[in-house]
Amino acid sequence: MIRPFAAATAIVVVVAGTAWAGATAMSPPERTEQVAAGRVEGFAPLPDFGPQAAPEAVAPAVLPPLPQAPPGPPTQPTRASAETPRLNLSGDIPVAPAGADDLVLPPKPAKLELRRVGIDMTVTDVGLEKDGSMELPDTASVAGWFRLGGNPGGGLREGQNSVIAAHVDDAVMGRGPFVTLRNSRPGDPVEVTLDDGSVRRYVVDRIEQTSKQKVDLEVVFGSPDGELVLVTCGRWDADVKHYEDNVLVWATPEGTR
Amino acid sequence: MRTSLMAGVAAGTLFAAGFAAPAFADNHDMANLSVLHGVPDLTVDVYVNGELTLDDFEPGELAGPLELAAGTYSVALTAADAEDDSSPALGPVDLTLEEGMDYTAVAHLMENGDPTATLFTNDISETASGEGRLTVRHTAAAPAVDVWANGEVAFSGLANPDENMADLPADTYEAAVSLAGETDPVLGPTDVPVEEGMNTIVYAWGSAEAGNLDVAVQTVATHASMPSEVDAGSQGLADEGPFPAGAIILGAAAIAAAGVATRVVLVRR
Repeated sequence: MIRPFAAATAIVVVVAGTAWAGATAMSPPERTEQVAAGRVEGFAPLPDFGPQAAPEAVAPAVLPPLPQAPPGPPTQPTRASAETPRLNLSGDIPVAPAGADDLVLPPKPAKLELRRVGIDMTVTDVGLEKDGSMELPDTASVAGWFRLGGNPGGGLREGQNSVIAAHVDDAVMGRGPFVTLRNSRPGDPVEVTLDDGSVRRYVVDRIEQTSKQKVDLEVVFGSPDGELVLVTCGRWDADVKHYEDNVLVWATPEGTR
Repeated sequence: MRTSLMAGVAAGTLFAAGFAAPAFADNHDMANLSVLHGVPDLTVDVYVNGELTLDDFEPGELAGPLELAAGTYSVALTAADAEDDSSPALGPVDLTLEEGMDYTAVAHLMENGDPTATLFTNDISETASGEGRLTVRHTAAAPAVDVWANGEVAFSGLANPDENMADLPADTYEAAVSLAGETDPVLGPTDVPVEEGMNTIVYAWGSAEAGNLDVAVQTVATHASMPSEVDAGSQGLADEGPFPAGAIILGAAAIAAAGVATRVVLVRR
């Protein structure tokens, strides 16, 4: 899995020598001793503060210094013990420059098209409402891409399902574009245009209408299947003035079926 | 001087380097490890458990993340032309990785200029809605520094090899580094993006004496909650054609493939 690494623009070192004179104050013998100590123990994980630590306790801002190895003969290289887990690396390990200018965040969905059912919508990124439900654009004319899930443009959660949802209707415009989502059919092409202008193509795989009470949103949002899931509402209950179902259109990346 | 911590980023939540219980760990018995090379002028090979794992690893490069089984790994760095790991330039050191955790091992200079390695644990606990996490790590041969964000001191008195972090409203911050207690930047200013559900980790590395101080940036995903509901309509205007409730219309290919689609069907029953 290739993940983007950030990068680095040439940071200008404004002050070099003189201001940093303190760094040079260490005497050679001290350095020698540091080397002799091997500092092998220094690789130990930094101690954790408890999550319950009061802000005052955190204020010192720096973690305790790493423990120094006691003076002694240089540590000999150690071999992996029998309990050492096997390295089981598949494929190349991604390696990339990590300078500030190298950091490139993935492009985000900006537009969604399902031409066969007449959907052509602007997409914006959304998160969670305070009540834990998915945030959605107020207007049914704009769809929301869930930014804490997968992104068709890649990034840190590459491979996780991407979810785009929109209100099926609203009080201002009435019925929105997603009212036709349920008319999608397997094989329909879906295009997501990203904010860098590139396009990710999907193909509708299945259409589902399930009670909101039963729909498994951890599967919808959390599956590592790389699918695009389009979500809206259906089945109006006039008694309680509420949509009872979610309509979900599952699409797979083009070329993977 | 370690007062006025976070003075400039008041809206942020100061975080201890602790961990909330992981909300969604994909593989509970696995750990993620990235490796940052922060020793200037030294191209190395990295051996893990005696196996050549990274060839010709250059300063300023970040490798990974590797998904590894929890356990203890022996890591050694050698000169890039070494034939094996019998004469390491650094290490071998034992890295103990716990399941569900995210780590970055950094080869870097100590304040006095000697090379060392530090294993940092990356905080991937969930961030509050609308917030991302900023972590700063001092891995440079340089004295203690203050880290500035948008013109104010965000972290003061940060010394090698320490770290600090805060959760901040998602935004792009102009970050800079000065000597502790001073105002002239020795690094930056540079733009650092902080996004919801992401820990942006900024390293100062290199050597002040050698004039090659630099910044490295890494991003890791934090745990994130999935929505509890998608409430996507309010007016009752959606057409209700003949679409049986609970139905799933499957494409032929999906049925043939049987994998994902079948699983979803089973989940529904």
